[in-house]
Amino acid sequence: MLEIKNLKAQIEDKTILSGVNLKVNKGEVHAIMGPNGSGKSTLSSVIAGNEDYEVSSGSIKYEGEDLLEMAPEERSHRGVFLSFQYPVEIPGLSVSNFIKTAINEKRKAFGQENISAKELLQLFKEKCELLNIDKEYLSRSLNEGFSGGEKKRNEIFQMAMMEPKLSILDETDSGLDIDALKIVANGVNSLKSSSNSIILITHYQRLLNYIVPDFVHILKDGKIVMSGDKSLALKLEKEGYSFLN
Amino acid sequence: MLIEEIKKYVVDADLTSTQKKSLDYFLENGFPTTKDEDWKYTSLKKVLKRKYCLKSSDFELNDEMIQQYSLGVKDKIIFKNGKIYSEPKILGVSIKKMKDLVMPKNSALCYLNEAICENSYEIVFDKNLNLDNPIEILHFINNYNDYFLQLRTKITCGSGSNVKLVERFCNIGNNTLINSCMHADVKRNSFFEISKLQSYNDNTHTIDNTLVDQDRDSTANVHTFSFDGSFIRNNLNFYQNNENCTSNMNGITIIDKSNFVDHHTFVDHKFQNCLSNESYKGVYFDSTKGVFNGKIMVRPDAQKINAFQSNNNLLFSDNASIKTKPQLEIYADDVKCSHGCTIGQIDKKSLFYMRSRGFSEKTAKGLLTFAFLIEVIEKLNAKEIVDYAKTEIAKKLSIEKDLL
Amino acid sequence: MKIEPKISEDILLDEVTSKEYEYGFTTNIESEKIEKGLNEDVIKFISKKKNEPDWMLDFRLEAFKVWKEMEEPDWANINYPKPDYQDIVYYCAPKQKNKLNSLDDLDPEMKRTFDRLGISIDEQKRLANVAVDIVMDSVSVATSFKEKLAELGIIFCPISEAIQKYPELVKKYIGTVIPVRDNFFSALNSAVFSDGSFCYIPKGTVCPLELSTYFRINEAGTGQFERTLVIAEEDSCVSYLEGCTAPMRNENQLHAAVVELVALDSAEIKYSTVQNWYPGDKNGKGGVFNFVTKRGICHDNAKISWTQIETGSAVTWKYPSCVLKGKNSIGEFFSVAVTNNFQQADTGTKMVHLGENSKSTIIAKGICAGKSNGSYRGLVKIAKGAKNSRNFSQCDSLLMGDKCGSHTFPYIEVDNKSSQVEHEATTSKIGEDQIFYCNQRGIGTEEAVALIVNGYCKEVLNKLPMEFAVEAKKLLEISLEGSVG
Repeated sequence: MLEIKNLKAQIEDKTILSGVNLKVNKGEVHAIMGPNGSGKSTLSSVIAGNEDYEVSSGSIKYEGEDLLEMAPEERSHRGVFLSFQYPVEIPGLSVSNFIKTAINEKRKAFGQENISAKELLQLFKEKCELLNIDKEYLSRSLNEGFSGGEKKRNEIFQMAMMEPKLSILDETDSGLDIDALKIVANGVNSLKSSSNSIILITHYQRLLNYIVPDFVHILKDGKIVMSGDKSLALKLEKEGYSFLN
Repeated sequence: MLIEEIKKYVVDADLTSTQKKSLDYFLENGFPTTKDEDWKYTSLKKVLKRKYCLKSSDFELNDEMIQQYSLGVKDKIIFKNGKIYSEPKILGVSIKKMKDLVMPKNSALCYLNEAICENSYEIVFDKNLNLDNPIEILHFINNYNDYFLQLRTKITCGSGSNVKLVERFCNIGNNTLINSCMHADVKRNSFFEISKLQSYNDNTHTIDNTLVDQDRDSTANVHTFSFDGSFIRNNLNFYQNNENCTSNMNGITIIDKSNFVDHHTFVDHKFQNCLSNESYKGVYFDSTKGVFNGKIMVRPDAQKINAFQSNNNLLFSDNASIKTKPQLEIYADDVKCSHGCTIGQIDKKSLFYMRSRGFSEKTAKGLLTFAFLIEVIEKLNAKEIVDYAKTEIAKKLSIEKDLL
Repeated sequence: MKIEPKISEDILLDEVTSKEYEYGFTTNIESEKIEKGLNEDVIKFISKKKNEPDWMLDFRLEAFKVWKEMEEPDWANINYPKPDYQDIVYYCAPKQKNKLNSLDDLDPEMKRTFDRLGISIDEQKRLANVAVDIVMDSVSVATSFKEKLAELGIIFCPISEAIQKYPELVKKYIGTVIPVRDNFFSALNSAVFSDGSFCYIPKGTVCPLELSTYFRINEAGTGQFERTLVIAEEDSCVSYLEGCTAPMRNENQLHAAVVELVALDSAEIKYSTVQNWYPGDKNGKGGVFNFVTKRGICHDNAKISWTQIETGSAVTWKYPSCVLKGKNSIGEFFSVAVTNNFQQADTGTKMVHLGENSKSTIIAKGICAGKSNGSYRGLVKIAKGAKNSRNFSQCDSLLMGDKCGSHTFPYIEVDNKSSQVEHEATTSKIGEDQIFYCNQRGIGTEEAVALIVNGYCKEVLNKLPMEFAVEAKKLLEISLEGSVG
């Protein structure tokens, strides 16, 4: 599904990723862990196409095609979803209107009709239940005045609504209390299937108790320095990042 | 009438050609009137009605008087009717009298000042000079007749210097109209701060023009405290002439009787990556009048500017009034600018809360008003200045200073 | 190597500017107009043409005298070639063979015009509950639903007709809210206005329909000077809508209207405008000069609410205001002003608090793109006697592109201690992070900008009556399409 080869990226002349290699197959869950400043969020931004980061070399293939050539919205249409670490606020734009537009833009890209109101309402209802979200929240301004937890849950709600093929969850667990974490994890788990993949970017092992990864990678100084199965995360939790040295 | 006096005065004065040009400009434009947008709410009519003399005379000044009026800081620059009287002995600080001191001007009053000021000085702070404590600039004024005094000072802060000043006035004479022009030339990577403590007596009227030119990586702070004086007009302009400048201006106005204070500020953001922060607070008792006009200009291509301005006012009397006009003029798009302005009273709920805890109404009001002002006071560094400000504020609020 | 080439702002800007003004067609109808120029004879001609009583002619002539002594104001933050007032046609009327008995008798060409403008004068509006008065060039050409409104005692007709039929009402109120000598343009309007709408809501009546006037400048070289007077008697309530378009012409056209609102005790007037005069082309050529004086007076417990969506005109000079004369009166101003290309807008409001416990709210949203300039200019004045008054103002500007300018000039004057005024203003650009967030969800940049702008304006758009809100939203999108890279 996703193949990253020797990816190097920088922001304003500062190199952040210095040769990342990663392969994610259909149906797999990968966790990327690493200390602060190791380049975790940069990696997710580059995959999503944030223009602030410049790719200096390397490639990203997505379903066999060059992802770097695609505009951010095109990546989204093709099923790449990023759950933002810091979701932005858009005052005056309701959650429902935002999601409806996102779904329709994707449909438009594939020459499909707009989603019908009935279908959309059904979908809203279903996913609200899944994530234990009060329907009232659909009419609130996007992320405006949301608590940290609400913002994160809103990201997963959007993920549920958009049914992506590749989801990157960037620090989705940070700032969540244990109950909220369980809800979010349940949501993610129920969206998991053999045809989609998930990349979890996290600082803590805690999330991995609830969303069990197939692979764990450790990113340090812009490189993946170690890969393994879920036991690696436990080792990391126990010994800290210092054992890498 | 004053114009006639000025014309008479210059006949004998030995003006340079620059001064003559400035005089012509002034005579052509005259004193500002309420027809000028910048003087819409501020009439000079009454102030200009008196018969002022323009020539200064000498008077006795002794250490006791200086002791009495000084803020208590060690280093002082003392002027007598605008003429230098004593200067501090600090290596790297020099004061020069200038014959022909050309400075930037923002109104006809600056032209007048340039034309007829008797004593112009440049105070130079050397490169990399680091002043730990502020220097007090103390003006003593005393003249036989009603007096129209011109003050003219250029302050040069050499690159890498760190300069702190505090300015005060003491008029022991007759009615005086002060037209003061100060130009601060803040060079690269230097820090300049001046606190203007405006506690004039009732027969002093002031027009203060302070213009600050800033070079790259510099910071300039101007704090203006207006406590007393029948008529105060402050024109404060910042010009950011290079990148990475920071300009801070803060003000507290707390006035009573029928006093009048007008703050006009202007920040000219000409280069990118600069910051300005402005906070003016006003408390108005009795029949006082306040005017605030804060203008922030962001020139084309001055991107990544953050400019914040706030003006908050409390009115304590139905005879008091406030006219305020925060103003943004933005010609670049990647900017964050905001201004906020409030006019109101002490929050009734807070007042009630305090009274139900046993505070007298006066104390409760006083403390809440002080809380309203504290944000500005917290920006002051020098202990002497904080102390002075607290004393004056306590007096105005009729509460014990120890409470603050 | 960039991850994704940034969409060039220039290309996008080109796209916007190539977006044609949809209402820029002209209508081929014969019209009757007089020679260019302004003098007493012209005024007498207009007055005679309208079959006006003497007092009206005197009012006009007095206004003309006053106007001649006045100077065109230049304090606003706008730059434009001052019109040559002798080079304008002051009266122009579409020729109609007979007096209309019903709207069905309307000239077919004119009817087609209205259809193109999206104004249907018949069934559709009945369904939408809107009564329409249409002013083309200087003359009111059609008013619908008169009879239905008459049953309730509501008068809704061209002001020329009101002058004839209800002279006492007109005489009592015209020029009382905006005196002839109020300003240069109000004086000019008072001298030469040829038509406009008149609306009277009797005591205790809630007007069941939205009243609407549609203004259209058609003829070349003409000025449009309409005059609107809305009177809401005690305890009455009315919602009034106003729309405007003009053909694309290379020369500038002058529009100088006067709108007076009178809200007597406990009455409520809601006045909404969607202004879409021709803004000129992408090089700043042509377009309407829009100099409008709008003011309402609120008596005890009365409320006036102005809502405006300003997207058109080359130059806008407009400050819909409220004089809060009565105690507990309420004034509101909700505005979205969009400028693009070379447009200039200097707009805002005045809230003059005279009565005790009066309240006002100002929400002004400016959006500047291209090489345009937008200014908010406002006055909040709380007089000494207006004890316990409140004002809240919020003025925000959104910038798109680095060639535009945005300015805020709020004047605040408070003369008593029991009132509270709060003013907030911000200037910012559309966040790149906001656009990227939308992009990541599959929403293209164009669409993202439209969503963000609509969200930004939502507070104001929500104040519009439904049928106008949809139009306004569309208009915003068209006006700004492609302004951000």
